[in-house]
Amino acid sequence: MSLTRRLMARFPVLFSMREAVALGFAAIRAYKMRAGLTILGVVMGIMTVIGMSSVVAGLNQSMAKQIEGFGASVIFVRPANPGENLSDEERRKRKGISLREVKAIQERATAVRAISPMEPLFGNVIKYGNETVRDASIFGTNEAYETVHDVYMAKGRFLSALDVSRGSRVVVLGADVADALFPYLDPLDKQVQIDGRRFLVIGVMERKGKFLFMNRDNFIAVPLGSVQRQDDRFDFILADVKPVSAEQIGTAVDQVREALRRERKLRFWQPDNFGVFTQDTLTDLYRQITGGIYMVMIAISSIGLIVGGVGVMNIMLVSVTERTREIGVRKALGAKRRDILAQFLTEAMTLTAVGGILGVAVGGAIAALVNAFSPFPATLQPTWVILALATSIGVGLIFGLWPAAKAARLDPITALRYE
Amino acid sequence: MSAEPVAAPAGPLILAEDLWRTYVMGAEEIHALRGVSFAIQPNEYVAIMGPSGSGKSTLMNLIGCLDTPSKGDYVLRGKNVSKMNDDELAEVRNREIGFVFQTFNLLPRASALQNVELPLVYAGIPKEERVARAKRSLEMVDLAARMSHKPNELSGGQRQRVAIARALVMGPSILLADEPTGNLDTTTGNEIMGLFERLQREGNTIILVTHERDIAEHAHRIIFIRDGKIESDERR
Ligand SMILES: Nc1ncnc2c1ncn2[C@@H]1O[C@H](COP(=O)(O)OP(=O)(O)OP(=O)(O)O)[C@@H](O)[C@H]1O
Ligand SMILES: [Mg+2]
Repeated sequence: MSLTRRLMARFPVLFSMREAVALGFAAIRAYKMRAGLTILGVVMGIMTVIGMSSVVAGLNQSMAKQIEGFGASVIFVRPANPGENLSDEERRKRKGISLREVKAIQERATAVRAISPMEPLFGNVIKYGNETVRDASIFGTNEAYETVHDVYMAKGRFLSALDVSRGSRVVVLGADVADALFPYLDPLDKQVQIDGRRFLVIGVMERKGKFLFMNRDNFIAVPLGSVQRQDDRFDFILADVKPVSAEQIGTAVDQVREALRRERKLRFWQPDNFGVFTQDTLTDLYRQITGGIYMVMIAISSIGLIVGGVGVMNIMLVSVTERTREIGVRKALGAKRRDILAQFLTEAMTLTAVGGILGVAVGGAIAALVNAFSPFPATLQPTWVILALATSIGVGLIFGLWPAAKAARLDPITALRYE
Repeated sequence: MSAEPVAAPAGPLILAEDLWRTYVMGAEEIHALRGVSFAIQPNEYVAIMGPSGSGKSTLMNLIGCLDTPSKGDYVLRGKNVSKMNDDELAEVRNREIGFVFQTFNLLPRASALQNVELPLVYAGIPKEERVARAKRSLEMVDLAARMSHKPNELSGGQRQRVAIARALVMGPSILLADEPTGNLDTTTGNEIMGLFERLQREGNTIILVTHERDIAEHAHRIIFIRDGKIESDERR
């Protein structure tokens, strides 16, 4: 009891808080237009933070699933590294690797457990009866693909070494392709047509799910060389590589690069003319992109918040001038400097908090719309909501400080005489 | 609350000794008060009179602890106020002084009750007790029925009575009024003067500034100042 009494004596402000908040709302009501325009900046700033952070958080969540799905320890051998800066001409010169290079990697890279060459086949139409699929990605590959990518079969089996060495006309279907071609029938042991040639369906892969624009179920695998003729120098091949263990992935990357550089007779000063990278590289690239999004977000919202803050400062200065006499009266009745300071700060913070709440509402609505109507997932982040509200209140605190200090410093006699 | 016994220390309520107040304007020095000394006992009713520019308001500001003297000592209930800082002065104003202004100075957006609550807010008194005390104070000026009215819904005399209720709510040592009837017609002015007389009878100390002789006549003592000095100090 005596403690609360003492606290009350020390912080009378606590007991006039509601009054100060009410005064903040009164100021908004009195200067609707001005207050509206003022807090618009805060609304925009907070809206940007909420909207963008929701989208990035949504992306992060599906990215995490994506990484799980990919298997973290796969090494990708491609014409170029992701994000590598190449001229158009250079990019055209870059091809894939050849089967000879795949063999070289197999022989020299001791930290490699399996390597799966993949020959992308373009412009193919797959048919069964009246059903046709045109947009599937078709890869010629070997039995190692199953090991490298931890493929699980929904039905039947994956390609075998024998299928590949014989160049058998067999095919393994992704879940979407199987559904499209065989809406009612069991696909196993049926003959589908790829570019007019007949292939026997020997298996259907388990569904892997979608990520953004990438669909990993709209995919079919045939034995390498069964469509195009197998040739050592044919060099449009991609390869996915699995190291002997997750810990050995760095060594495996080095060995793969070394093997390719030797095979291509690159001198030590020449850069790689191929790309060897891992999931980590993709994750890093992704982090760069989301980092960029965050920078844009911070830039836009900072501008909004500063514009809003300056507006709040302006409206508060006007308010202090208009209420000079009131300040004089309050001081005559016993208000201390800190009481007046707290009153005007609370008023400024009320203004910007209203802006912040509106911003969170609009930003949340935008996130919900993005989630519903665009390929980007978006989830509202409680942490960001709290952070955004705290920031908006902080803006009121910072930009309200000067006007509030001006009010607190007023001499009571001068203030009382103010007309 | 005016009935609360003032824990009177030995000596007068107010002791002013050789008060000077000098305004410096560039190279020029204006002596608004030039050595004013007087003492006021509890429950006195004093009027301060004088021509325009004589230093009445300057003296009121010192008595009301809104300002400190350039020279001399001002002792209020045994405490020397002359050397206090802004926040200490604010506390003294809150506890010891009840201001009544010529222009009422009520907060326009607040109700009568909220206006009367204001000094209690700055004293750190919790809401319930605040409301109870503010209501009692409004009853004392016969305005309990107008509690929730805003100032612009009240007549001039009613507004001044709200201001008086606000001045009394902390149970101050002094009720300080600067031209309290200056903005009122004669009838309403007389009503307010009647209220002051009643409050004095109930134990309050009242100091009143006016330039009207017949208003000053209500007081029991008239201090007349001219050119920053006391010209006469008569008890009646
Ligand atoms: N802030 C100030 N700065 C400079 N001079 C001042 C200031 N306040 C008052 N004065 C001067 O001090 C003198 C006394 O002024 P004061 O206001 O006390 O007079 P007053 O008796 O209240 O007059 P009135 O009856 O017109 O209100 C005047 O000459 C005035 O010009
Ligand atoms: Mg005056």
